[in-house]
Amino acid sequence: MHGIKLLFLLILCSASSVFCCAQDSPPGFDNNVNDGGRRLKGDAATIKIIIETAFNTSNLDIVNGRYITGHGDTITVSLFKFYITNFALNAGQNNGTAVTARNNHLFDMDDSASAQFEVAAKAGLYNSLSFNIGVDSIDNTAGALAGDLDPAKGMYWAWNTGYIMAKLEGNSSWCPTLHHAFEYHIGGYLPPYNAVRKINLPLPAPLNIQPHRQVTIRIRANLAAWFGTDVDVATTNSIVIPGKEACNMADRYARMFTITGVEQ
Amino acid sequence: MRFFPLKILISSVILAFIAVLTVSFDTHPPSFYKNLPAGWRNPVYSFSQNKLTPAGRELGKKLFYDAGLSRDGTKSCGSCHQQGFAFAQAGASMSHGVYNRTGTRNTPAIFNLAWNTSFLWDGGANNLEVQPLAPLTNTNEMDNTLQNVVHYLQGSPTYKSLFATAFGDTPITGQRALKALAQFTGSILSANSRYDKYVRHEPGGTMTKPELNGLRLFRANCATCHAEPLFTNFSFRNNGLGQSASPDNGRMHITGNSSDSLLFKVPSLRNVAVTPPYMHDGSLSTLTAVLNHYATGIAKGPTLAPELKNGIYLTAHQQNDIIAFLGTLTDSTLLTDPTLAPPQEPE
Repeated sequence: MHGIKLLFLLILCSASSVFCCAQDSPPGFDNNVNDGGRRLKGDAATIKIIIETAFNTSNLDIVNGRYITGHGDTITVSLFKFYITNFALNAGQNNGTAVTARNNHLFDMDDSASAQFEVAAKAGLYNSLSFNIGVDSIDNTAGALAGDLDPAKGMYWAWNTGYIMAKLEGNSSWCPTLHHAFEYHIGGYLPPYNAVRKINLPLPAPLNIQPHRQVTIRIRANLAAWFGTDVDVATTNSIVIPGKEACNMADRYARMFTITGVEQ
Repeated sequence: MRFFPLKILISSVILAFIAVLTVSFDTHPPSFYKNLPAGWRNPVYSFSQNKLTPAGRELGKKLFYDAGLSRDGTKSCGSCHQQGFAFAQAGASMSHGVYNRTGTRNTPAIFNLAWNTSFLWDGGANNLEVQPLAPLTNTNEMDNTLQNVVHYLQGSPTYKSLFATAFGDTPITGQRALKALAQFTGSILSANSRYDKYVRHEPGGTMTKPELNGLRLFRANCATCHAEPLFTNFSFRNNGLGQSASPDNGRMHITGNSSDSLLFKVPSLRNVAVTPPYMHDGSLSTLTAVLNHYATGIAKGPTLAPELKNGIYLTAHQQNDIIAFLGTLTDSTLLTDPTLAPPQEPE
């Protein structure tokens, strides 16, 4: 009888731990740390991500920069923000092991502190990194969230619930709009117009991450990708609702990222 | 005999799971959740991620009634959602906003929101907690931003202490303001009308003969969409009003599908006697006008609700009985509950 009692207790305990942790981080992550589950237990390493912005070969200059798009339009940029979520490092042949917990980060060109963020990773050998641009459907339906997902961050639609995945605003004399402004507010989480895009970037060389070390990865976002060669700001100057146009723009900016450096 | 312990083991395991399930679902039951009226299903919004507390609800109420949340400081949520009219706006076909602006839709009544599957006439808001962002930011309503509201709240010593009491520590964030509002709006319950007492066989639950006949007619003609006990099935329907003076495609505005053109949320008919004018555009001022519309006023169109293809013909006598029945859905507890009234300021 003792054996049965013990088994009963054991099952009870394991069952309750399953229920308690249903929404928590994957194994190996410290659920007691209130930072969105970014910190790992034990011999974790820290991955520091630095986001750099550019327009083709020039660094992005929000004050003086004038850039020529692939279509030939001269533009200036006044606002650039996007969500980077579910960042992970992947070990190619090991079926792409995600190494970080559910995470989210808002990049805002106006806030230099937002150009850097850290995620925790298990030590190991990795071949690529991946992340989403945008906020997944779970967080789009979960009500009011905290931190970078707080609706007060200005990346949230009120009339039609949902996050704005990425925002780009600026001016061009070609825009026949008030103040010659263009604005791209790209969002939408419902199929067929889900604007979340998964980005996969191969690392320049296999990365062997040692325990307790910090690795810095620089990622460049090239805004020229938003325009490609075919976006004519005279006609495409306002995308502010979910839909096909938004998804086309998301397809374009999904190509804006490259890894420019890995240091450890 | 050999298998007896195994049987015990299996039943113990099953019992253990049931016990765990019960415990995990019963962690934060809001007070009304434990006493659900008979026949009501569980609410969609369960407060599981927003523990309902007296301090949180009190804070939510203060926010609800604070005109400081609007751009010009003249309009609170409670300006349009007035308790005495089941939290609809008395006598206004369109909601009234800041700077004497007028909105484009009729103010919906507010109660039993925890059961709603979506919010706003077009269902554009998908969660109770984020619904307030729509009126808060609409230029014709409160014309503000959540950033501004957070800034305003952070500058107030009163709010600082109320947020600290409600949430255990000091930060005032957009999330917390929205969660507090949801504690108030989500716990506004209407389940104590004479009709409710009638179906629960409680004292005071008597209905007159015309009212009972009205209930019978209602069930035969209206209850497909206005389903008991909430008196809505939360679907979207084109109820034949045609295009309003200010063009409004309703649900299509959200989905982009032309098949959703002119579809609007089916509203609950609880407290309907105290919420004129009616319809999303406030275009019908009496319940008789509404029933006449369904009898002979329906504008045909490709998206018209199939239930209304042939209209709903009722004699004047039958209409009167239905209206008498609808009167039994008025919940005086909701209309007079002092815990829902504007907070008394100790000025």
